[in-house]
Amino acid sequence: MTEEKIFGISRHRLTTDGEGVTTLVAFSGCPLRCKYCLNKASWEPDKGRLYTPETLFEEVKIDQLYFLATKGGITFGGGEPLLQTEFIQAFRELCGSQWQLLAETSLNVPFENVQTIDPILDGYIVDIKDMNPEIYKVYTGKDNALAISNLQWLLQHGDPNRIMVRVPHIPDFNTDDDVERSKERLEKMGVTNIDEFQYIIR
Amino acid sequence: MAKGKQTCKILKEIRKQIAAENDIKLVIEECTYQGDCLGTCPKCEAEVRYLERELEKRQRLGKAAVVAGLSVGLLGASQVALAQEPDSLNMNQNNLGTLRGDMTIVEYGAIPLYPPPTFPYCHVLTQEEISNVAISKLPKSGNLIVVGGNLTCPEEESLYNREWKPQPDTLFEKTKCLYAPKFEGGESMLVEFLSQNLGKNADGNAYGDMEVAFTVEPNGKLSHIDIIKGVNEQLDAQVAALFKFMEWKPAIWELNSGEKIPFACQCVQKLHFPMITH
Repeated sequence: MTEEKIFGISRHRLTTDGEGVTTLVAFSGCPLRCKYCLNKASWEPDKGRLYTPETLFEEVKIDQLYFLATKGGITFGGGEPLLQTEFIQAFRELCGSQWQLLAETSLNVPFENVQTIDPILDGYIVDIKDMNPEIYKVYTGKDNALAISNLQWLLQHGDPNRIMVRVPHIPDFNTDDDVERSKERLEKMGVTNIDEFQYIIR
Repeated sequence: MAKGKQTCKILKEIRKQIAAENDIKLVIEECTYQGDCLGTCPKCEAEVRYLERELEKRQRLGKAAVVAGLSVGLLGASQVALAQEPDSLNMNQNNLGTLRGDMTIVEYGAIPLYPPPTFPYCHVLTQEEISNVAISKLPKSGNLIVVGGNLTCPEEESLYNREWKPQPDTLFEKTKCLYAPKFEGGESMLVEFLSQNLGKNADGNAYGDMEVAFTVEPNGKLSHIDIIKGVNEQLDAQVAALFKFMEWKPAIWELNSGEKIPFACQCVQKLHFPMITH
């Protein structure tokens, strides 16, 4: 039986994670080390509370009526949800096809994970950080080649409209020009839905 | 408007739409709570559970339950207003500062019912009144039913399946309490009701015993809800709000004529909130 650590569940999100009423389920464990990460606890795979797909479903189905009425559902975040493909697959079998299942992801995960999970998910919110490899590496501590190749594959294997790519202005790490260059490159790749926004450092 | 209040308002509209589309009677009271709103509360949750039950009833009767996609347009219109609210979660996908911290969920242990020491609203009848009272004139609903006397009950007996021990020379000598008040579906359903509606919002750090006093009216509604032993202010308020939504099977009294009548009965429910350990 698959079980994973989940460090947070946030209900009734109306505008932040896709359409409809959604519940954000945040997995523990992340391959990135973003400088402005506000939940560094999510970096540790052992933090959080253990859930099986069954126990998670029992907890979140309390909002099924809202999900169905608004075409909402669950947004898996984290941490990095695409490290938990087996769990999400099992969860889909429990919740059925009417719930929208999205992933908030960096896509900086093995290609096999993306290939496995794609038929399961209805959409993606991809935090691409910056398309410039150097900026990405300084900010996250990782290379972005894998994230970009995964994004390219997703764009070529399904409706591009199911993918929203977030392009943040990251204080002290990228400039407005960097953000423009990232957007141009993403558009050339075929991204149709870009969310440009500002990280606010508190 | 605080974002929680706005979320509450939108969710309420969704519930109204579902009710209207499925011919479900749903009376939503205006929320007067002035404090921080999380977007939902036990009262809102109880309305959702009520809708679910009503929709299930419709399906059992072979009627269509219309829910899918019903409120998509409503939410779209609401997003404009919500977008104007600062939302730190929108700034950074990793900012999850408003999540429930350690994910604790309140669980419940055994729920014994304490026998009520006396029935409320009772009036001790004189012998003359007893002989003159016409059973048909006894009120079938409302808070007052004249049965008379002080009741005592051996504490070692279960509330269920017991006979009350009436004082001598009262009407009780010739009558018998057939059924004590009971939550629809029994204790297991009561636990489920509380767990489902309380778990998400309860203070996970709260633990201890709680005692809720209430009166089950002849129509099954609960009144005079009072937390006589509390755990903490937030949890007490949530539990009290949930009890307002409950419906119980009222106590049934059998008169010596064989007639069975519901009557108001005071109860005390003990709830146990265990300490959560990880």
